[in-house]
Amino acid sequence: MKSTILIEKYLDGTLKGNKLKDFEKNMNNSDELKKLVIIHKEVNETIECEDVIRFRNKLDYIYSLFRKSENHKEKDSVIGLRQQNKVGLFVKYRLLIAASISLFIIIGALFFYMLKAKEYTNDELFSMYYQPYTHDISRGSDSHILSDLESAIILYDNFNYQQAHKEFSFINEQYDENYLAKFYYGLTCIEMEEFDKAIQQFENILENWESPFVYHAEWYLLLCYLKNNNKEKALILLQTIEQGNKYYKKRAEEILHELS
Amino acid sequence: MDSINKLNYSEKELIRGIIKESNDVLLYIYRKSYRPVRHLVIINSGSEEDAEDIFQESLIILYKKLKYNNLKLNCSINTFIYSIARLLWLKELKLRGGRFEKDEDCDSFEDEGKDIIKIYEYNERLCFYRKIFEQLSDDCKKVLMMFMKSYSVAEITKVMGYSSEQHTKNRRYRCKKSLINRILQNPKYYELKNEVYDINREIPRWYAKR
Repeated sequence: MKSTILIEKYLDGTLKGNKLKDFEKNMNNSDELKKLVIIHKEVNETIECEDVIRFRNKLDYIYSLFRKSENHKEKDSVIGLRQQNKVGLFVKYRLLIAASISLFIIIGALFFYMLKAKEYTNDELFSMYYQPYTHDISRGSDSHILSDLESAIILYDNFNYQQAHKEFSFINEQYDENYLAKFYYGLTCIEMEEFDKAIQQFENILENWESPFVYHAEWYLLLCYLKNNNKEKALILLQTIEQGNKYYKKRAEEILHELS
Repeated sequence: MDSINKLNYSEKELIRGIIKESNDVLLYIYRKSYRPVRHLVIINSGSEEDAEDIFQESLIILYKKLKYNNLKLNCSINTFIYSIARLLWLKELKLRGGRFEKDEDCDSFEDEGKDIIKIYEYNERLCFYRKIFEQLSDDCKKVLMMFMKSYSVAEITKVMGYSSEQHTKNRRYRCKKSLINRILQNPKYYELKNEVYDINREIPRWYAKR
């Protein structure tokens, strides 16, 4: 236990003075300790690297979509081939071709059934549908001095989520009714895996803000409910999105289908 | 919002789409780049499943390099993915004792090669650690996660409903120790190609600074 405490303090950067010197000296003399420090460090990175886990899950989903579309193509090409040859080979070997096509369709149907039959967890649904927000308007590098909010948005756009998170948190404390800042703060909370905080922001926006942005806030709130495994709230919100959200209607229908 | 489902993307759009984890862009990359990688793996004693794994690992490496290493590409995304996949499959074949047939692409990819293999091995370790991490109790996972997300001890104590900050700290250390023990007791750990075994290397001071 003592070595765990020392290693963690060392990695946190809170080991100071003589204790730090002694620790480093021990580390240089002990391969075992050096090995433990590296494992601790990599384990910390594992816990931090949520985005890579999410990306991996997303690729599983994308691959299933890709296979589906490839399957469609193969099916189409078989039908095309059948039409081309229908005067010659098809007549001669029609039973054989019909049997092959039947077999292909059965295999295809089974494959589709297997894909369809996979039940996604709420966490997987989050990974499949989440992607960082992208706004429509591209920002130029105007010469005028950028406001704090604009600077923070640029940080977000440049994937510097940690810094953006700090900036939006600060802006939120200063301006309680700046809902655009709240929206972005919610987005950075997702990136920092602070889903409860993200939910607070998006719920606040939906209660108080009349703006087209609420469509996006609804969507990200939904994803946070999924991530937090709050199926009940997710289902209610999904119905709202399905009925009136022009941007995310189709995706809401897909998720509703998966959850039902 | 999603980018519109397009037939073609510029290289810049692809890079941005990968970092942004855009479904449309990723699907586009699968459509464009998967077949050559699949061909490479299949003609070199691999299976469809191997091709899928190698392609996925290649994309993860590309994602990490673009997002964290600010990679500047001097070839197309397509070529880069193929080159990563080729390296990874070559490495895998060596482990399996197979032979690599010469393929059309003769790009040696020397500069990036070692780095890519290191990222791949590192990813493998992280995947393994993650599996062990998931076996911890929910409480332990939450505490460790919050520490890693730089929550203060006071905040964690409040959220977890612990009696004192000292208890929170002790909990963290106990959970971490349990995690490390589980890793070291798992035979799989010793099968992984491990930089940790290279213990003669110096651990620089900055290594500790996160």
